[in-house]
This record gives sequence, structure tokens and C-alpha cells, in this order.
Amino acid sequence: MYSCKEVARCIASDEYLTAGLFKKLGIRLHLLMCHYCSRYRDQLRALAQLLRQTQTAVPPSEVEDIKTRIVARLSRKL
Amino acid sequence: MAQKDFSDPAFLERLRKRDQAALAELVDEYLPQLLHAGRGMGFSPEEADDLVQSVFTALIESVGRFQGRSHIRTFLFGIFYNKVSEHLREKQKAQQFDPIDELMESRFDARGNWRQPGIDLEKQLLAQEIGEIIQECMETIPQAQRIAFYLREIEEMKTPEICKKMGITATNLGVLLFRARNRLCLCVEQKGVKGVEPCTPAKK
Repeated sequence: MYSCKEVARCIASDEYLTAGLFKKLGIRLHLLMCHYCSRYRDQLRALAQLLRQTQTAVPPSEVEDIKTRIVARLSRKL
Repeated sequence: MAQKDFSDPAFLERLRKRDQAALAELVDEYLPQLLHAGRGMGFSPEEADDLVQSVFTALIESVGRFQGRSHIRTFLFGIFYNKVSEHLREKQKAQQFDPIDELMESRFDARGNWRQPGIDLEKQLLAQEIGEIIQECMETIPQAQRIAFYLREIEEMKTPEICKKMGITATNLGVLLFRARNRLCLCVEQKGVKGVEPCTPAKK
């Protein structure tokens, strides 16, 4: 049986994804039984999801300024 | 407006001839994506500008070698990731010790069991300020960890692809992801997401 510490390490390092069948099953079983570890897994998931949701594009006006600068510098190299 | 085909041989020919208008079109199309990726990986706005500038400069210099077999976006982002991993090599001495590991360690008892459960973050999904908290916490993540985390969670790349782009082993990537995730997790918890109900003792 894996300890919580080992399960947490496998989840956070993505080692779980490439683990062999038995290890994967062991971890899954642990997650089914352990409220703390499943909460930890949910935390990591929720954070990743939030991170994706809170991605904001660089404002167009800013992009426009940078573009002008970049194109000007590039044309000197042409 | 019709989608511009940047892989069209005629367009590539213009690029090879260093046609300024063609270059401007390409910058127009890909600049927002490159800036977004650069900033998302933890480069400051100024650093991201310089990085993207160097990507386009390298493109002009190497477009003669581009055969048009892959998409120009792939070629361009290939240059981008090379620059990012160059930057990392220069900046980063192999970081063996990271205090986050000790912090994480202290969450477990001698038998490897959690001392306390974490906060239920799912309940916080709708809280407005959590977006800001996450962005603030992202700023505390060292850059190599942040790049790994960005490629995995935002670009949703698989392990071999990330390892190739960053020039690291799968074990290294695992360590970077582990540290990035725990740092983010602990930081968000520490900022005491408002309105969180106290953790109920979890059943074990």
C-alpha cells in the first residue's frame, strides 16, 4: 500500500500518468479510500482549471505598439 | 476575411526574399500568440518583447532553410521554444535544493500520512478574486518550473514533447511540475482564499 506522501508525489509529478499497471491501480485504490489524497488531487485539478480560465490575451493596443517596434527593427535587418 | 495561407509557396518565396510586407503579415498573425506564451511562461513584458523580437530575427535568417514541409507556425514556435530553452540554460544553475520540498515534506507525518487536509478549492471556483490570487501566486514560481507547468497545463503538451522542447529528462520534468504545483497550491491556501469554510475533519 502506498503512503499518502508517495501518492501525492506521483500525482503532482505526473509520474502517475506513466506508471505501470500495478502502481496505477494501487494509486487509484488509495485515492478511492483516502479523502485527504483525493482532496489534494482535486486541488491540483481545480488550480489548473482556474489557471486556464484566467488566461488573458495581451491587449490589442499593446500588441499593436510592440508590432510597430518589432517590424521597425526587423526592417533595418532586411 | 479569408484565412491567410502562410504555408503557400508564393508567400514563403516572398519571405525568403525578405519582403517587408510579407514579414509584417506574419508578425501580425503570430505576435499575439508568441507574446501570450512568453508572458504565460513568466517572462516580464520587456523580456517577452525581446524574446519575440529575437524569434522573428532568427526566422528571417533561417527561412531559407525552411522547406515548407511543416506549417510555418510550427517552424516559428520551434524557434521560440529553442530560445526559451537557451534562456533557461543560461539562467538556471541546476537547482537541487528548493525550500518548497521541505514545506511539502512537513505536510506529512513520519508514516507519510497527511497531517491536515487541504482547502476545498472547488468551492472557490466562482469566487472572483481567486483569478487574481492565482496570477499573483504564479509570479512566485521560479521560471523553469513555470515553463514546465505552462506547457503542461495551458499548452496541454505531453511529457516527451515538453522534455524535448526544454531539453530535460522526464524525471526532471516531474520534479519541476511537482514543485510548481505545490508552490501554487500552498500559495493559494496561504493567501487564505476568502469565504472558505474551515476544513471539516476529513474521514480517513
